[in-house]
Amino acid sequence: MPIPPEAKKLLLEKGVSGISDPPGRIRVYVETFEDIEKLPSFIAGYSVEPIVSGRFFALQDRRAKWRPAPGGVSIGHFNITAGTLSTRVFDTTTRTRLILSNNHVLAAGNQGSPGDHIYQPGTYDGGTDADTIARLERFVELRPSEENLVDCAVARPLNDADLSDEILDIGVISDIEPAVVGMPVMKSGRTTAYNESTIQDVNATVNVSGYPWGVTIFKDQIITGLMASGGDSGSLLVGKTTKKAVGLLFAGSSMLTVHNKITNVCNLLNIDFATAPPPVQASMPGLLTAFMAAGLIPGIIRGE
Amino acid sequence: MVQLTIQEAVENAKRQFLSLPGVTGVSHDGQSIIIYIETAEIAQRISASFMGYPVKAVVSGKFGVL
Repeated sequence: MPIPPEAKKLLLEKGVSGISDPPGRIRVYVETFEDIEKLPSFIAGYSVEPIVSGRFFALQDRRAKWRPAPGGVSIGHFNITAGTLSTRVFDTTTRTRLILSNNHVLAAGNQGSPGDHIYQPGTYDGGTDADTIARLERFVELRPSEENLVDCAVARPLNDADLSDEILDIGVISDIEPAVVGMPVMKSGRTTAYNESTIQDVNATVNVSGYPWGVTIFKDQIITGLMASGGDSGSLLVGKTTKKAVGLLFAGSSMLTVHNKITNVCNLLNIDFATAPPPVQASMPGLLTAFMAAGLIPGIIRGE
Repeated sequence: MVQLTIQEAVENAKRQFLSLPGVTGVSHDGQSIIIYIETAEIAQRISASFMGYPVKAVVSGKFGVL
C-alpha cells in the first residue's frame, strides 16, 4: 500500500517525526503524547496508529573531524587525550571569535603555552597536527595550593570560518545568566552527547582529583545531577528554558557533575557571548581583567 | 553567644572538614551546611550540627576532572 499523499502532508506538521505504512493502517510517529491529540483518526480510509517516538536526530560522530566545528565535539591540546569544545565566545576587547573550553583541555593543566596547537578532534580520537584548528590564546592559571574559581581557557582559530556558532543539539547561545538552585539545564558533550539535569547547588567548594599535581580545590561551584563522563569536560551548561549559558562543565563523579559559574569564566577570561559589541563602559570585572593582563595584579591570566 | 553568619560558618567548616579523607566538598543552602562525602559510611564521622547550623551530609562519590 503506498502512503497516501494526505498522510505525507502530516510530515509538515509540528510534532510529527515520521510516517510508515504497515498493512491496513497509517503509522504516525510523534514527538510527545500531546501531539497524538492533533492527529486525525483516519486518513484516506485507513486508521491512524500513533507512536510516541520523541524527535529524531541525525546520528552525529562527536569524535570526528568537524569543519566548521560546533560546540559539543572533541577537542584538545596536543598533549592531552580529548575534551569538549564548549562553544564560540568573543574577546570582549577585540571582538575576536575564540574557542572556549577548560584549562585542562586546551592548556593541559597549566602545562601549555600560548600558541600551542589545539587539535579537533583530540589525540584520543585520532587527532594529529594535520587537525590543528586553533592555537592556545590564554588560560586562567590553576593554583594547586589555593582555592580556584575556574578551570578555563580560550583558543584562537587558525581560520575563523572553521568555527561554528552552534552547539550540537542546543543551538546558538548569545547570553549568560546566573545559576539558581532548581534550574533545569542541558549540555552537549563529546562523550555523553546531549542530556539534561537540574542545578542542585550554587555555593559548593569541592576537592577535585586528576590534575598533574593532584587534588585541587574549587570554590563557588555549581553542582548538578549526573550529566557527564570522561571527555565531556568543557561542555557548556545552558539553561533549558532560557537558552542562556550558566556554567562550564569540568569535573564530576559517578553521581554528580561540577561546573564553574559562567560569570566567573567570562570575567577572568575577558570574554562574552554577545553577538553585538557590549556597551563601551568600564566594569569592575573588566578593569580587574585588564589590570591582570597588564601585570598590575600578579599573574593569574597566562597568555596574550 | 553571637552566632556566625552561615558564610562564616561555611568558611570554618571548609577548614575543619575539607582535608578529611572522604570529604569531597562543603557548601550551604542558606539554612544548613552541606558536607559532600564519597560514601555513606563517612556520614558517621560528620556531626549533626556545626557552629549552630544543622549539617546535611550528601553522598557525592569522588570528584575528578572529566
